[in-house]
Amino acid sequence: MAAKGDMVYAWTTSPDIASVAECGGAVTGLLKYALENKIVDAVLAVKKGVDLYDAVPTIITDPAELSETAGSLHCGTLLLSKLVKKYLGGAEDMRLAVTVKGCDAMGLYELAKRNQVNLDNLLMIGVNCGGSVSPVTARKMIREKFGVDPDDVVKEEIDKGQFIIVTKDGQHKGISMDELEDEGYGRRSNCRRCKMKVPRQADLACGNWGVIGDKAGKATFVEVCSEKGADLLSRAAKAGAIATEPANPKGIEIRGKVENAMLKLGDKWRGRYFEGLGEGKERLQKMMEDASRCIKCYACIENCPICYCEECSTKKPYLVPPGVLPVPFMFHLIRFAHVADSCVNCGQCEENCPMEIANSLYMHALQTDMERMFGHTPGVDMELPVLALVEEQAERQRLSATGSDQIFDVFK
Amino acid sequence: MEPPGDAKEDWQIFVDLAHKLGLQGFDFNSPEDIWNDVRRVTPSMSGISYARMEKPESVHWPCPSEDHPGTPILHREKFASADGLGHFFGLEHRPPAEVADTEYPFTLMTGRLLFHYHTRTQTGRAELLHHEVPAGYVQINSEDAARLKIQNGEKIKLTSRRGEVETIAKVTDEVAPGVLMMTMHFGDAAANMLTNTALDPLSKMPELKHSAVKVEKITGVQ
Ligand SMILES: Cc1cc2nc3c(=O)[nH]c(=O)nc-3n(C[C@H](O)[C@H](O)[C@H](O)COP(=O)(O)OP(=O)(O)OC[C@H]3O[C@@H](n4cnc5c(N)ncnc54)[C@H](O)[C@@H]3O)c2cc1C
Ligand code: SF4
Ligand code: SF4
Ligand code: SF4
Repeated sequence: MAAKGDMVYAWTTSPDIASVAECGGAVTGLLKYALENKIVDAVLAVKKGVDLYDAVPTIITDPAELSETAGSLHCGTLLLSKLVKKYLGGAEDMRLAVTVKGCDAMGLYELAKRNQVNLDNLLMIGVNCGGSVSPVTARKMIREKFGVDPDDVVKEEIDKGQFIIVTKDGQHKGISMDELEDEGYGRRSNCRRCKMKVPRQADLACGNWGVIGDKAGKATFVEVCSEKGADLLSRAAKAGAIATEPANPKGIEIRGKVENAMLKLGDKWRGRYFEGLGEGKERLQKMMEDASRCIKCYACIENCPICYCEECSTKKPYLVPPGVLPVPFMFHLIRFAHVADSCVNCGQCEENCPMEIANSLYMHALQTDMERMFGHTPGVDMELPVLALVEEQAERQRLSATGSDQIFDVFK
Repeated sequence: MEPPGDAKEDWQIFVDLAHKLGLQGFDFNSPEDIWNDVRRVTPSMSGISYARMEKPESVHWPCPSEDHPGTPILHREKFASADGLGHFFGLEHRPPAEVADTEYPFTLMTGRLLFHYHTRTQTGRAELLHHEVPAGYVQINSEDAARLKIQNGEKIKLTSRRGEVETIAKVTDEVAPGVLMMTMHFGDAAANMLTNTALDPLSKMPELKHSAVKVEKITGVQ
C-alpha cells in the first residue's frame, strides 16, 4: 500500500504504452487504469498535433486512445486549468483526470478558490517541469543554433541542463540551456522565473529526475502527494497496470539536488528580470510604455486562470471609455489590481498577446512584491488571498482621526 | 468555423451555384482544393501549401515554389524594375478634384477604425467590438465646434454637393480646424453619401479621402 509521502519508481506494464511514453509510462498507465476502472469519466491530457511543436489539449474517454497522449511536448506552452472551467463545466458534473505541470496545478487551485472548478472531482497527475519553449522560438533556435531543419526533428527533450534534439536519421544533438538562453532562445520568460518544479499540490508528482541505476530511462519517479494519489497508485499496482519499486535513496538525493538547482536558477532569473524593470516610477513608466501598444483584444483576460468575472470591470465605460486609443492604462491597472495577489506566473497573458507586451513579467513582479508584503503564496493550497474586511463607519472615523491616507489598514 | 444552423459554408454555396449554372472547373471538395487551384494559377503563391501554413512561422508571399523560403520583406535585395534599382521621380502637385470653398468650407476625410472592418458585416456582430464603437460619428475640431456652437455628442447635419448625412459630432483636437473625419464603417452615418466620385487617372481609385462639405446644427433637436 502506498501512502502520502512515498517515493517510488513506477512503470507501465503495457509494452504499447512503454514504447511511446516519455520515461516509464507510469503517467499514461495510471490514467488508463483510472479510465478503464471508471475512477474517472474522462482524461484531459495533451497530444501531438501536426508536428511536435503543436501541442493539442484533448479529452479522452476511450482508454484505447490514451497512448496518443503519451510523451512530453516541451513546446506545449498551453495552460490546461482554464479549459476545465471553460469547456468542462469546472468538472462540476464529471470526474476528470488531468496531467498537470506546475502552472496547470496552480491555476486549478486558484480557480477552485473562486468556485470555478471542483477539485473534489479532479484527479491531478503532476509532471515535474523544467520549462517549456514557444513553438516559434523552438523552430528558430533549432534552425539557427542547431543548424537543423526543424521539420527533421523527431524528438526534443530538456535534460541535464541541455535542450536535446533527435533527428529522423537518429542523430542526437544537445546545447546547454544557459548558452541558448543568454542568446535569447530557450524557455519562455515565465518558465525561467518559475519555481514550481515538482507539483506537490497534485495527487502524484511524476518525473524523470532521480531515476538512476538499471531503471534509468525506463521508470518514472513518482512522489505520492495525497491520499487520492496513494489510492490510485496502490490500486493500479495491485491490478498489475503498473509495476513499482521503492525509489533508490541515492536517486532521491539526486532528485532533491536537481530540484534545488532549478529553484536557484529560478531565483537568478527573477533577479535578472525584476532588476531590469527598475523600481517605483521607473518601473511604472516602462509598464505604461509597453502597454501603450495594447489593442484591447482581451486575450490576456480570456486566458488568465485568475480572471473569471462575468462582468469584467475593463468593460465598464466609466472606468475604461470604449473606442479610445491608445487604450487607457486603466485597462491594465484593473488587471494588476484584480490579479496581482494571485498570479501564478503561467505566462498565458504574454504568450497570447498579439502585441508581445511582457504582461506576465509585470504581473509576476507585482505578485512577488505582494507575496513578500502579505505572506500569501498563490497556487499551492486552498488558502484565500489577503482580503481586507473593513467596517466603513469605523474606517472613516479612523481616517479622519489619524489623518492617514492608508484606506485599508493592512499593515497593522 | 462551423456554419450556424442549416447554413452551408460559403465555398459550398459557390460550388453548388456553379454546378447549377453548368460551369466547368468547380469540382472542389474542400477549401484546401480551392486554395490549391489558386496556387496553380498564381505563381507568386504557388509555394504556399496548407502544410507550410500549419507551421508556427507560416510563410510569406511571394513564394513561387515549395522549396522557396518565402519573402517576409519585399524588395530587400532589388526592386521589380529593369535594373533592379528603385527610381525616384518628381510629381507635379495636382489639387484634389474638389476643395473646400465658401459654400462648403470643411474638408472631409474618411478612413477606418481599429475596432471595425469595412461595412461591419462581421465586426458589427461581435459584441465586444460593438461595445467599443457602436455607432458612426464625425470628428470636428474644438475651435470649429465652439464657433458653430456644437456640443460634444450633438447630432449635426453634413452636406456635400452629392448628399447629406446626419451624425453625432465628436469634438476633439485630433483633427485640425477646417477638417472633419468620418469612418466608412456605418450605414447610419454613411460617409460615402458625401464623398466625391472623381477617379485617379492612373489607378482609378475614387477620391474618397477628400471632399468639401458644410456643417449645420439641427435646430429643434438636442
Ligand atoms: C514541458 C515539460 C517539462 C518537463 N520537465 C521535466 C523536468 O525538468 N524534470 C523531470 O523530472 N520531469 C520533467 N517533465 C516530466 C517528464 O517529462 C515526464 O512527463 C514524466 O516523467 C512522466 O513520464 P511518463 O513516461 O510516466 O509519462 P507519459 O506516460 O509519457 O505521459 C506524459 C503525460 O504528460 C502529458 N503532457 C505532455 N506534454 C504536456 C504539456 N506540455 N503540458 C501538460 N501535459 C503534458 C501527456 O498528455 C501525458 O499525459 C516535464 C514534462 C513536461 C510536459
Ligand atoms: S510556468 Fe513552470 S510549470 Fe509552467 S510550463 Fe513553465 S516551467 Fe513548467
Ligand atoms: S496574470 Fe498572466 S501569468 Fe499571471 S496567472 Fe494570469 S495569465 Fe498567468
Ligand atoms: S493580450 Fe495584449 S493586446 Fe490583447 S488586451 Fe491583453 S495586453 Fe492588450
